[in-house]
Amino acid sequence: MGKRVGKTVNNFLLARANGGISMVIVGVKILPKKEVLDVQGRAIAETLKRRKHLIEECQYGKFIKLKINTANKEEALNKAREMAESVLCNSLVESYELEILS
Amino acid sequence: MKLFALKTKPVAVLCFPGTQCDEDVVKAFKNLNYPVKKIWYADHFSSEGFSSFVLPGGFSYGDYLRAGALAAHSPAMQDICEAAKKGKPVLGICNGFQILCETGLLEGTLQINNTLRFVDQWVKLQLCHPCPSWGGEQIQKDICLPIAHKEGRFYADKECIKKLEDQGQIWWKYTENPNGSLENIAGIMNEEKNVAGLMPHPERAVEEWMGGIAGRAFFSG
Repeated sequence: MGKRVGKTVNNFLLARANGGISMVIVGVKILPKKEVLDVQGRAIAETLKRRKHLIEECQYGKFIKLKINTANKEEALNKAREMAESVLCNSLVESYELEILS
Repeated sequence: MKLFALKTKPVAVLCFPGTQCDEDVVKAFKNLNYPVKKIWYADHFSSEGFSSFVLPGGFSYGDYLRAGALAAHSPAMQDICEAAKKGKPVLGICNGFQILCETGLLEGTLQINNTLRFVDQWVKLQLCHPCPSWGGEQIQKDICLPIAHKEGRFYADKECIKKLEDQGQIWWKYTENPNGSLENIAGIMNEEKNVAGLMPHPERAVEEWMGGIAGRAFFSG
């Protein structure tokens, strides 16, 4: 236990010495796949059209922001990809895109 | 001897934060003199001590992220997945079905109803292939059960639907589609037929005063 706390404190001090807490923020954009019926997107599109907005299509999805404890962007993306594939996204009906936010 | 063992080992009914049909499932088993024990999702447990596992309906984790997605990654579910792979019977009702699809024990997924509405009504169901673990041949071919869900539209890609049809994995179909499910699918099984899931609620049809007793056979197999 003490060892773990010590490690956390060390990481914190190291991060501070490097000029800030090392963290990468990754955005995960999730949208239903084209071949899947997107009932929410369709309902939103109908309402927008009723309000005379000219749109061709509307897709409804999710946006998840992850703060990942690492200074390495590549590592952060790899971790986010693992999270997206195991939990955040159901590959049967959804596709996802990752982006570095900061 | 095997039957005796089945009768004495309790059935595990899994409870997640947001599960609400657990007590109904427990009562359905108790009325048929089966021992039942509730299991809390957050702890690992020894699946050896149980005859079978039921994931009841409700809204685990408030349906956050996707219905059943967060529950599927809980510690108790990991134990159930291992037990299922060893051939133990697992039944998912409504939200339980969604959880089983999210764990990958069952194929496909359950999407928001095509009407975008919560449906709460009695539906006619047609038995396609009996599930030996849950009701088996005792179950009638045409029954009525209540449904209550917003995310019950069964979806799988064409190849998967064909595989389900070819391998006799389709358990129940709606006679009138209430939610836009592909091929009117209401319930499916895995290839080995020990894991099954359905959107209708058999535990809500076990006494005459409930409107029917067609659900009893699900818990007496």
